[in-house]
Amino acid sequence: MGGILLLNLPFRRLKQLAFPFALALAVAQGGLALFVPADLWNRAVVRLGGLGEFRLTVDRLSIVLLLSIAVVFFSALLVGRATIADGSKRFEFINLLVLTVVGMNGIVMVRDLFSLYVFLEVAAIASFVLVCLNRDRDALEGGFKYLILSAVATVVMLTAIGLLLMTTGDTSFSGVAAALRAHSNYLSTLAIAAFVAGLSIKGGLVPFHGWLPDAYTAAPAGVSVLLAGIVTKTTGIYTVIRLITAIFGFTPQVKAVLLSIGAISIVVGALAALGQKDFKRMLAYSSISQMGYIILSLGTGTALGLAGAVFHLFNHAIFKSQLFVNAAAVEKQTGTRDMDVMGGLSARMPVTGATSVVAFLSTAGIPPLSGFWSKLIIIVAVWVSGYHLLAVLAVLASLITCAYFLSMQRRVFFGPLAEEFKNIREAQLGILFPAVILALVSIGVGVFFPYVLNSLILPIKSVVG
Amino acid sequence: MRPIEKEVFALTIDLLLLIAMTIAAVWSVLKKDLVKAAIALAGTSIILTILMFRLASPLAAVFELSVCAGLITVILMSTISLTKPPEGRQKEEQSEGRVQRFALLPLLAVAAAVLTFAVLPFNFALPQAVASGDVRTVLWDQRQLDLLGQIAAIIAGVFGVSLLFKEKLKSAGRTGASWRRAGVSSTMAAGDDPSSDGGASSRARALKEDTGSEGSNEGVGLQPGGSGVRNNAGSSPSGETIRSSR
Repeated sequence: MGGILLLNLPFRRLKQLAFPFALALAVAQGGLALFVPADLWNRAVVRLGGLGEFRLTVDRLSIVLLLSIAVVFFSALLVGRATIADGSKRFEFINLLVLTVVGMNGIVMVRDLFSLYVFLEVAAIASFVLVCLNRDRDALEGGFKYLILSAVATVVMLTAIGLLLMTTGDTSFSGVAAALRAHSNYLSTLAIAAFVAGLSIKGGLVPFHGWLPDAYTAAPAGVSVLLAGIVTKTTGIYTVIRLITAIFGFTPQVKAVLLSIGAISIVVGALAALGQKDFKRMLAYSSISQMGYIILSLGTGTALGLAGAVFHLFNHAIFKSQLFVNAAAVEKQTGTRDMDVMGGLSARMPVTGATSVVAFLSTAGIPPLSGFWSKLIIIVAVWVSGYHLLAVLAVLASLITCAYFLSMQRRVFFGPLAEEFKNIREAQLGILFPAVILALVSIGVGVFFPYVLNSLILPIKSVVG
Repeated sequence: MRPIEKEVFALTIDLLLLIAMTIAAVWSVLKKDLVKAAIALAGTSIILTILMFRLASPLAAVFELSVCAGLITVILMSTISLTKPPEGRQKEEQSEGRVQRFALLPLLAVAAAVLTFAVLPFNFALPQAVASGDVRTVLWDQRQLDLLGQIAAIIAGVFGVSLLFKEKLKSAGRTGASWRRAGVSSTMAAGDDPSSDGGASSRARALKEDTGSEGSNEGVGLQPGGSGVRNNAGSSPSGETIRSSR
């Protein structure tokens, strides 16, 4: 898939064709992920003229990720088209968006440490440039921070790969895992720690989260949707899940590290989000907090915890993209992101207001929306594994989540309409469409939860083996 | 010398080279003068080249020497010569707290090292490193997927450079600081390329194109989007040369 996407890139000289083409790619990927079973994927061998052929591996976990990537790609594309006015800039945006998606698809489908690293870099380079798309001071600052911290992550991960290659003599997941089971020593432990630290930087988890709010806030609207919705999740969270289940295993140290990173991220992210004035910055901190839940759930090391983590990852991709789509709509119509000057926008922008309510209720874990079920699984998994304190913490942090989103809703959408926004109009169709779709997905996954659980989420348990 | 002495001697030399390389790298970060920083960076690359030769990977060493020490230094120098050096207040602002900011860094590094050694059971029992064949075979026969990824990364870098350099074309009359800011971030974006040689040559091409066509573009008057087409058209041939030069 990644290869097919890439091959098409040079032929897209005709700018008008770029958008429908990318849209078709998104829809095709979504359809393939939904309707083609995993074993059929694995039979497909990608052939490239002179380059020979290679195999990509897909399992249930990859399918969930591919589906999330497709959904977020679709929304980001529509939002980008609606918000970027300059034609050539929009063309560049679509190009880089496709490249980022190529990188992420590659990440999801490779089973080799070094290939993983290469595709991480593809996604990262394309997103650095995307963050800087506006080229003003904030954008360059955000992009530069992202770049520098990502470079640190890159160095750390490359070192880890080198150490693992030195100690195990292999870079494929299965080879490294077998060698580590046979004998592990000082260097391999160091390598695992380094790798997880590098991925935590990419995923914006709390000790390493410095770049994330700046990058999310400074990026253009469509890029924020993509970054928050899926890039950090694929490059940081998915890779942690994959590496730990496929290679490193749930040793007590790994569990302790994951549980503590998760718990700290939840609390720090939620508390920081509480004090924000900027709409997108608040969402960025909320993202950190939600990713904490995913890592906390993974840290339990049980199959249930893993299923909860992946389910929450999917849900978070949906509702966080949705909130960023709403933020884009509000920013485009009002020209500001300062929540203090807004108010009563619901009266003038009913669709944006309503979909935002759905997304925030889902994030806060209110039944029957999708976020409730994944949080329920996470908290049950944490409780069952015997970490009662952490489970209580997760529930309390959920209340904080509810608090900052309520405050956001009140300041932006409810209450009396601010004087200067009397003549404001609802956002254009390009932004409303993804917002409505994402809201429907949130509601649909919540209502048809038993079906989703059986077909999409529970099979993930097989990854643990 | 007995074999063991020889080994210790070789290890000492490697360690000294590593330390020298670290010093050169830190120097290039801390130096205020961009020219000196670029020279220090070239020095870092040269020491790295020597290390690579000593570690029996001459191909990597040749690439490092020709691209990182040679080509990149030339590009950096030409970029610096296009910018205005900071003056007066701006210079003061830049130098403020430049070294102090890093004062805690050595302390942190030492603390981290001590912690790592204290927590993890330390031993030097390394398995023998296995060289798995010729670089060319490894690259072309076993690592095709990675090559594809690298090409994607290079294309991303080219798009990035073309996008970020357009600002320079559009606003020829801007101050030195904003010029440099745009330049620095764009070279950095491409510099993170995993295949440094490929990224560098495509970057060089993009740079050349941009600087070369500056005058003519101003002459005809800028059409919105016109430069984008030209840059994108340039990306594909540069990709070709990279592939064939491997």
